[in-house]
Amino acid sequence: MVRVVGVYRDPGLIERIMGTLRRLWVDVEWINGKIEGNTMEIHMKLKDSKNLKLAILNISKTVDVERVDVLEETEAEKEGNKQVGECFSTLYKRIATYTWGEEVS
Amino acid sequence: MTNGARLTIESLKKEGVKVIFGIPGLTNMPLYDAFLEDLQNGELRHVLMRHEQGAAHAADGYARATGLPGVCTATSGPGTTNLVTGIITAYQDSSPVIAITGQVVRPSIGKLSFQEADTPGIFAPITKYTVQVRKASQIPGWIRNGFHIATTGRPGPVVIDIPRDVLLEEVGDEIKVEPMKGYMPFRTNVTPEKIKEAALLMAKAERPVILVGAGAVWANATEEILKLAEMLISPIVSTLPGKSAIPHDHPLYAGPMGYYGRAEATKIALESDLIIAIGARLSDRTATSAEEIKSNRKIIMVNIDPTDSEKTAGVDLNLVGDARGIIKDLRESLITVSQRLERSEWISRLKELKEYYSKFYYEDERPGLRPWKVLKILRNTIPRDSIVTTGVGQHQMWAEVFWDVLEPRTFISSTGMGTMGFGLPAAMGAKIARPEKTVVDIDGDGSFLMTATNLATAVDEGIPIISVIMDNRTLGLVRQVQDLFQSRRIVGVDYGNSPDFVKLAEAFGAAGFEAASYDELERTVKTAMAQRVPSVIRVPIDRDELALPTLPPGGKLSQVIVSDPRKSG
Repeated sequence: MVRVVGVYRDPGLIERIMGTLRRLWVDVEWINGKIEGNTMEIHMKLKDSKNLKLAILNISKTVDVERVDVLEETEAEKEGNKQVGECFSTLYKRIATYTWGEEVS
Repeated sequence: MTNGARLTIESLKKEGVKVIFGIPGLTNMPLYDAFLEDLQNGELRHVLMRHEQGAAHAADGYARATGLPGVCTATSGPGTTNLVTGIITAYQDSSPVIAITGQVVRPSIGKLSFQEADTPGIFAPITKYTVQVRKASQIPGWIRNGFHIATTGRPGPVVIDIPRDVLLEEVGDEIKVEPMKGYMPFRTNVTPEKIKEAALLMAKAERPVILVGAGAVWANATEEILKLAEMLISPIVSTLPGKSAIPHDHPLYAGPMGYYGRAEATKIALESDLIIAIGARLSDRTATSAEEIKSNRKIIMVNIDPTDSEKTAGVDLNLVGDARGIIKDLRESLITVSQRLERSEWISRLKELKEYYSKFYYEDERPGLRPWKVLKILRNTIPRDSIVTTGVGQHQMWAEVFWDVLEPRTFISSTGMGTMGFGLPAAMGAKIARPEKTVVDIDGDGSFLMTATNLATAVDEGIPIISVIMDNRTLGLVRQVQDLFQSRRIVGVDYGNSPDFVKLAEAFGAAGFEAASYDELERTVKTAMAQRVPSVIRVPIDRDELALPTLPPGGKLSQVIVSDPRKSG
């Protein structure tokens, strides 16, 4: 699971991130994203491959991308109650952050 | 009030731009209208190329000769798509080219309009950054940021696509340029501890080799590298573009290693127990097998781009940052961690390898002009600081092995992309950047013709470059692979008698010469330099000449072929 945070100017940001994955033959299992102000957050689950690390590094050095967080699934948390309905949402823990081609935490 | 076109020109001038290579069309025409007075008063020069690919290569040649960004422009649609090959060539070789492209008016974008191309979509994967400007007020910011992006960190091309109506849009004169969010040059990871670790590795090594790549050229690190090599008593090898960083008459330089490199350089690298790769990404052209290059040795990588070590398996220590500064730190640290180094055996081995392989290279018994000797005559005839560009093909490989670079930034070649047709327009860009220097395009007949129309520009604009065409009437490098590795099934490569290069040159208004002997070559080169007009010198080369050393396709460096395998089989 990867979270990409970048400056949104136009949908070209998404195109460039996807292009980086395509060029390195890294497949996407699912993806969603949101824009707040001019910041875009894209969450996606990537299939493991020998190029995955390089793809993450390359995305992290893409102009307009501010950081890439690599997240790991931890547990499912129950939300809501019996009256309004219950659902489970997955919690993720950040295990690494990359920016401009290097791991920063 | 001003308009977008005027803002563009003023912004370019603020960045120090003096020359724009390009071709006008409907959508970038407002730029031309805006710089007319600048041309008239000599503040700017426009070079009207004959094809946009040539404009991008010329801007690239300008950038590589100076280290400063080269600028080109094209109109929307076919004009812009013609830039593609030139821009990706600059991208592969990390050259800061800025392309200002015209675009159809905003209401027409995305409607399959006349001469519309999806410029951001086409260029985003082959540039460091591509932006489509939506308002005239954004222009100064994007020009500033475009230059900043192109020239910092790992240099690279930037495309700024501006719709025609944005160029014509009227805006106020006072526009504040905000710093850009979402970009920063790479950070260094170098610490005193890492420098000490590297210095210890270097001091402990018995057989160190310094491998120099294009990054060393961009970092202007020649002097520091030579000092390090002398202190370390280490042979230096280079990549093909890294040739331009090292004076080849330095006794520690072994030559370029790799696919078509010098065998002694490849061999000394394979015998080393430590490679210090400076501004070299260890591409598949330099190290054809990751296993081979990483086995039995340590690798220290000094590179501006932290991700290059990820692409290269087996890097033991990655020093990210500016090569010149890092090497200076390494030298200072070496003084503190090591006694006087003694590597006379290792240097003797370098001399031994140089002597051994030289007997394969300089054979002169067969009839006709030998490529090595042609290049030797040329080298001895033109000044030491002359700039040489190349096309792509066998002649480029001969230049890799036999051309002696004597001063930094004097060898310019399309090495990552391998773009045929690069030589002539790149030479024109280099000559405009460095008018005081002799500029020679070492080319092949196939490569030269791909962009030869730009010779008309060289004549019209008075750009006195010299193209030396090693003419073997074939696509020699492809032919060689067919000949040696595809059972001599020669197909689709041999040309007929067209054109006559001397008459072709004369038709363009250039000087044309035939040099069928070494004496004629020397004489015609001297004449061309004295006449100071664009010149073409045709040098006939036998079609069966091989570019050696080489490797079999997919081969390892240890499988290097140094002599004509056809003679033994």
